[in-house]
Amino acid sequence: MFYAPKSYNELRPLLADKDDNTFFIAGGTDLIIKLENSKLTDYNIIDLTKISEWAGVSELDDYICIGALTTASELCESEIIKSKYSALYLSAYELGSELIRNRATLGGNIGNASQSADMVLALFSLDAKIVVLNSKGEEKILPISQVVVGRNKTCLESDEVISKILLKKDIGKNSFGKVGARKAVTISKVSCAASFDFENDLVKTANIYFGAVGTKPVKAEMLENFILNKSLAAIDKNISMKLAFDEIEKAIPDRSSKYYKREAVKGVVLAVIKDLCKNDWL
Amino acid sequence: MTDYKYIGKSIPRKDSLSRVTGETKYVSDIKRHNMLYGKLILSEKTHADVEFDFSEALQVEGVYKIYTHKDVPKVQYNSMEWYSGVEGIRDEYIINDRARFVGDRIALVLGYSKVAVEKAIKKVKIIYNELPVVPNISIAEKDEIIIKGSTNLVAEKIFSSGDVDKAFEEADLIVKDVGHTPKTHHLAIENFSALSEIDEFGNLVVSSGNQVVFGIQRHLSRLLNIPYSMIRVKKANLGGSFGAKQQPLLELVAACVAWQEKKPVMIYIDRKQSMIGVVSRTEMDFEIETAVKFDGTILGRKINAKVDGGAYATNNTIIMAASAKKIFRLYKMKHQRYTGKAYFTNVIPSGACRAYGGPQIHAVTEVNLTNVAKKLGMDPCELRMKNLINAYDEDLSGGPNLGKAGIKECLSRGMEKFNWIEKYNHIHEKDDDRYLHGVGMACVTHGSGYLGVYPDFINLELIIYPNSDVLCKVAVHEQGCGTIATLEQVVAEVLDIDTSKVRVTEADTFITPYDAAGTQASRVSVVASGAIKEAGEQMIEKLFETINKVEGVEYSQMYIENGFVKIKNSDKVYSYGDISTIREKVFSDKTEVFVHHVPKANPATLAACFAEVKIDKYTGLVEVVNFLAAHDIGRAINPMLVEGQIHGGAQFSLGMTLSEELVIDDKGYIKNQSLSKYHVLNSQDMPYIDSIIVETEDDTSPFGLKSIGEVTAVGPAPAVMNAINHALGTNITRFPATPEVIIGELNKKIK
Repeated sequence: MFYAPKSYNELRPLLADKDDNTFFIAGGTDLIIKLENSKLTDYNIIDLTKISEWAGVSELDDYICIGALTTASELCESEIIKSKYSALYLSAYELGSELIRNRATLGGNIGNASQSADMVLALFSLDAKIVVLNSKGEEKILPISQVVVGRNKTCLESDEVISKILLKKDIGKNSFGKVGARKAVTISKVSCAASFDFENDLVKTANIYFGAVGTKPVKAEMLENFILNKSLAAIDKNISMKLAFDEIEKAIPDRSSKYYKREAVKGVVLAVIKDLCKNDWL
Repeated sequence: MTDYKYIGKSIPRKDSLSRVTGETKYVSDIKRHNMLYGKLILSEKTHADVEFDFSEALQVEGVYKIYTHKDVPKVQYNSMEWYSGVEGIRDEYIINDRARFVGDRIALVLGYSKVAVEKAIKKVKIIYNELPVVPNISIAEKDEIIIKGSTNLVAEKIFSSGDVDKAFEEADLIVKDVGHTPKTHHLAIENFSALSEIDEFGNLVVSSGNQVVFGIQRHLSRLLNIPYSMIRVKKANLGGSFGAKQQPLLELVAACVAWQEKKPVMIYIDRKQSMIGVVSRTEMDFEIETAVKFDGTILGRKINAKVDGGAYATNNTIIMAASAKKIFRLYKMKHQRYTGKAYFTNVIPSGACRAYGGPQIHAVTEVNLTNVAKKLGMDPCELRMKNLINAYDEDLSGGPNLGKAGIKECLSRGMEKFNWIEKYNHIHEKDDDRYLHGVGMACVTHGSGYLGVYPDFINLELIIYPNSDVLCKVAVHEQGCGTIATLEQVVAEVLDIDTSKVRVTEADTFITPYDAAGTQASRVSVVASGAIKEAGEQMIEKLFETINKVEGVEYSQMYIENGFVKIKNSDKVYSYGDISTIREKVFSDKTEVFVHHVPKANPATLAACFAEVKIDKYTGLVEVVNFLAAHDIGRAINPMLVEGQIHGGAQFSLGMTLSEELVIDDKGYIKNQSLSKYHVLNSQDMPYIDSIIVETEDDTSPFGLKSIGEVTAVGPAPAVMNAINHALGTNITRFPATPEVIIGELNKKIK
């Protein structure tokens, strides 16, 4: 069966009945391929994209609220995302191709939880809060790091669905960079998202994550500690690159892809630092 | 240069708009009443005997039947054969009796809808009884595990000229390189499909985007035991081939089903199946030694080539010949020996792929020549200039004369436009902590048809209708290059009539006269233009004869212009259409001409390519920042289409150097079976492609023409590899140089 509820209320009974053979589709750029590669022939689909209350970007008192069904293209078109949440903007901008960006949604990117998911990585660095609803009408708000727990694994129960993503309004500088097999339309081989809060031009909190080097985004603590309490201009690029190298080595010590990734990460980190040091920020 | 009215003009193709707006209908857009859909099941194992359980699959609503090798004729074929005079090793069935590679076709699911077919495929249970595997040449040549027959060695061939051993004794310097070119996927935008049905007369009809209608007709007659005269093969609109559709496959499957079931059937496959289940570019290993004098004179060359031919024989023998022949047609080297060996392996079979052996051999020989120059302390262009062929030199291996070779002009004009000397000597000054820069170049050649190797001729019919419409019936298979448009310009030229009045057909065994070799070997524009020229001359003779006999006008007083026969110093004009009517009325004859045309020459088409790269030391990504190709193509019929070929060829060839490779592991599994893991260059990755069209107007071919389609996909690869090596100070000879390879090489250098 194919269901396309138009509201959360219409969705709730479907959530209550949802079984292992029922899949959410929120754009389909991952699901369609997964279904095609699977042996499944009879399954149910719940199309979430018709739930208009969960689309678009809006401003609340303390948060920017992004509907889970907001597409990557819509994120790129949002002025507020573009001007303040560069990490998310860039990760959406560099996601797949134009065709993919027109379909792929932020909620879908979280739900699919690919280890290379670019937008999820950005959400980790931005410490995004995820609004999760269930069939009973209950709501909970979880940090992204609790939602995405592994490769293609989330903490969501069968009757739960992501409705919104909240980003705190009070945000410092943030950015995203990646390297793939080619300039564009490419899956990340290694990616980085970073977000900094400042006090008197000094970095007070640093959230740096690397992507595609583990089952979920990897927190770069050595690099974060190095950057803390420094001004952006004072960050030594060579040491940052060396630390990034070490972070990758630490994240995937046994994988043969490390030989490439730990080098390539230098280019990614440089691009992120360069973007953060741009003068036209804020 | 000769001045023509239509030739040399960039006239847009008539089908451009419908192609870009999606109106063009391809085979898979066709529907027939009660039509079956059929999709192949491809092996997931490298080498195995296979058993099936179809019980669940057959219960899916709408499923018609499932075929295995038991349901197809017990006749083997070789998909490379294009006429009855070439006989390859025949070792394939329409559906194979054993899985010999990941992607081998082992069953076919037929149903009344795609949904039913796709659903049933998932419900087919396959039991693989796995056999020992030969995943690559190094295992194959040990002959410990043998795939079929008594050895994995399919063929061994030697091609030579002069006295190689003596040349090597006289050498001041010998430079050796070992190189490798990968299996690559053609990546035509349109996947493969074929429609087959029985027409109202009981004929078997097959429509597909193919390159060889007469070849398919022959295969079907053999395999299904049907008279040739009852087999109609039609070339359908095609969305790219690059040689992949040169080997019939789905056509044979579709025809077999349609004939046996007496139902229309559409066989289709998806991208993954297109990537693993058809053919790939032939993977080759080379060992190349070049013997030179200190002054840069190249004395000779020894080449050992090994072909990873895959699980079926296909074109393994002739790919060696095709790659070997190139080495005798570019440089003045008297003494050369090419030893080739082809092996069976449990991987995807090889097939034609844009320039048939040319990209492989040039990739490594041109890197080797640049290494020679380096060792001699010479500029790589200077070394080549000293050794390149001259116009009308002979092919020392006995092939056809090289024609009015303008490669030195390509090289010198290319060097100037690219600013070669300055860049070659000073580009490293741009290097910084992160980015390294380099330039490279390469010279390449290709043929202009089959003459001298296989029978090459084309039959053609030219018809003028009573309203002056012109139809040229010729078995052309438009590949997307604009061949039809090109030939329409040639018809317009020889008859002096607007291209809008002219139509050139696509191949159809029931309509178009026989053509010897199909649309392959970059032969069509050259060979068909010769036929059109011959037909045009005969047609004008007919037109003049009609007016001469009916109106008594002297031949010397008549001339043609814009679709009319005109009389000097007279207002009297006769449209071609009116003459057609007069001729029919008075002489009981039509204004039709049939010609059997055999080309007189097979001139070498030549190019010099130049590339500048910028390499990111951190990410290993190579950006081609400048690219120039200078092509001697004799004469451009439509310069815009020629440039289109140069651009597309560059995209193809740059991919071979930078990213494209079907990665096969030591168990024979293809690791990148989808486009998310098999990377071609997208528009964002493409540099501006600059080109120079050198028009030498070869005296031996019609209108001075040489080929362009394939040769464009040869030179960019070695030019870019030479640029990468120039930038890094490395000697990478294994294609492709992916970011991982570059980072690895840089790390090696540090150590």
